[in-house]
Amino acid sequence: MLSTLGQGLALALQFRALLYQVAGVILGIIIGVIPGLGGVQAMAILIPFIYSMSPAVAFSFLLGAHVATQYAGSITSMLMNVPASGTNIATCWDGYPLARQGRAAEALGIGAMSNVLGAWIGAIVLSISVPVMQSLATAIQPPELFMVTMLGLTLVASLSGKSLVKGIISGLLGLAIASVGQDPVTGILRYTFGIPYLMDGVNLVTVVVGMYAVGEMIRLFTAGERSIAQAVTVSDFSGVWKGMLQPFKYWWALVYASLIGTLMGVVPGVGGTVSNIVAYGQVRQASKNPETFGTGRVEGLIAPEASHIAKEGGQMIPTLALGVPGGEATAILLSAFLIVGLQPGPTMVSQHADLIYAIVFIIALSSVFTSIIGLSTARYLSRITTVPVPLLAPIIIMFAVVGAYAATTSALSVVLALIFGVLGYFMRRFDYSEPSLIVGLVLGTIAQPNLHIALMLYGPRFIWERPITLVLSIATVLVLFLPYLLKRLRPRPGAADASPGA
Amino acid sequence: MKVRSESVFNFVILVVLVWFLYGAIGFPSAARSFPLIVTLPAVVLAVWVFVQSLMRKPSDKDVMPVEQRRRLLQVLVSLIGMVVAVWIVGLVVGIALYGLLFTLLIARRGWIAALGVGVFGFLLVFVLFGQVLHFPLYGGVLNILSQ
Repeated sequence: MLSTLGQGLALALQFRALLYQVAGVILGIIIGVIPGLGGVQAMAILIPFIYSMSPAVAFSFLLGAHVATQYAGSITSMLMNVPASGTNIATCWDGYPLARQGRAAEALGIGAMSNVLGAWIGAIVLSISVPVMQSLATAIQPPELFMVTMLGLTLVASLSGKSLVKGIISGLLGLAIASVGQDPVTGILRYTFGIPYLMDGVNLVTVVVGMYAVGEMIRLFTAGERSIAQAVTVSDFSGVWKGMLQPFKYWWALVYASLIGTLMGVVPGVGGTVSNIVAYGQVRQASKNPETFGTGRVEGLIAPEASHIAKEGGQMIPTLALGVPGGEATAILLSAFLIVGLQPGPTMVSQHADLIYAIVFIIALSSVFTSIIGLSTARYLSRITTVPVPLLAPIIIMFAVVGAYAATTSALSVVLALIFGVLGYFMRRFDYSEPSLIVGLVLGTIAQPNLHIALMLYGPRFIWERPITLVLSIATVLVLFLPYLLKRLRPRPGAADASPGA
Repeated sequence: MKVRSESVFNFVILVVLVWFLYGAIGFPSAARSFPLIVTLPAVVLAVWVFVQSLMRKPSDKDVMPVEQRRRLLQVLVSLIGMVVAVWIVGLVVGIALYGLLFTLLIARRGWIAALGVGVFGFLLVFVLFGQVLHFPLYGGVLNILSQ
């Protein structure tokens, strides 16, 4: 195994591969800061260039761009509350509040270092456990996938803000919105009004940029705020260094989130959005002060940043070992394999194990290049937060609207993004939970077909008859009820005073 | 009785969920199970939240300062204006026009800033998305009618 590992490292460290990797990273950062364009679009744009490349060079170029888009999307999420894609949603929750506190440079530093460490943790775990992961990937069937989404859904409740009931309503509304369009199993059209645009369902990017970017700009402008950060210290670059040290201070959050990201990446179809949300929710639940998450907690930013990069390596396992893409980006990567003359699938591990390890190293190295290049522009990027809101609001709204349009190339996305923007503004004003709605929308698209298939294959007994689903079911129930049981068992602050004899 | 804005929003959410539920009932059995399972508890909870908001005592949150209300109205009207502009003159001109007019009339930042934002909008849509990334840009009904 060690010699194969060394061969993989040698492939990743070729001069030509490194050169193309840096080029991919720069292009990825440029593409990634544009809302609506993420790693998937970056790979799709760059794939025509790989025809004459060797496999290692081609994957250095493509994966460099893909990894860079992830961090670039995090930059806009932290500084402007504009997630470039679904995978950046959880970054907004604590990254943006940090920027609003004038700690934009620190937030960028936290994101960059979490990216690097998360990628390396993912790489180490994968390097050790490739054979185990292969069998795990085959064990994940629709019932397990459905229960993974249910576990994620229980986090909806824990992610709820001031009102738990309104948080649940928001999550259920998200699930209901996910049922718009063609039923994934029967093909029957639901809630489409005969509009072809809605046949594919409500686009996630449209909802996300609408709720976060447009909604936030409405709120800032209406509240009469002068700028995103009232007192940002942009000239002080020490914030970046301080931020880079934070993942070491909160190492448990980093390791925990990275492991969740890696494991969830192995599950085909779960994707980065879900793994980030699950990692965020788990780190939040493990924290001593979960109620302070969403206000600019460092661990709240470390979790999604470490998880989303760690999951990239995990997603490669089903893609390479089974030929089943772990996510959208790996689906494009599959076509890249065919272009360079390789056939992903069960024979890949035995015949091209060196390339598998090379890919793991490329992801880890790309995260380093991305962070270096991203951080070198951090002091300039953090100035965005000091632009006066009356000037920034129309620019962000324009970005959001164009991003929503780019995701579907339909003018109806413009209308939908603005509707969700207004909805997001009022939801936040009246204590509904935008994150819960987004989580519901994301999980709904995964839960629906897998529930159908699980019921068709096993009936309702799939919950207790399959060991992994049983474990996931128990975990779901625990996640949902344990905090309440603990709260009820905990003595109330005024109980001692009110007791007789006090 | 003065109706609170929160109650109005709760009612809107309730109506949307009831619409989802009503729609689900009309679908064939295999297609309705998921939306039905989801919307039924949501409607029950939304009714509870709506009733609670009607019974609750008024708080500071129910009162929005006049200045904030004015700004909210302005930004909502500007968004409707953007939709109409994009629909009529297309994405490139509509977005640029929105940036220019918002900065000039609502943000009151003067001609230079307004032109700057407008030109930025044009460059963003036409140059970046249209010319560099080759996205097919919506041309608006005027463009469609003129062809």
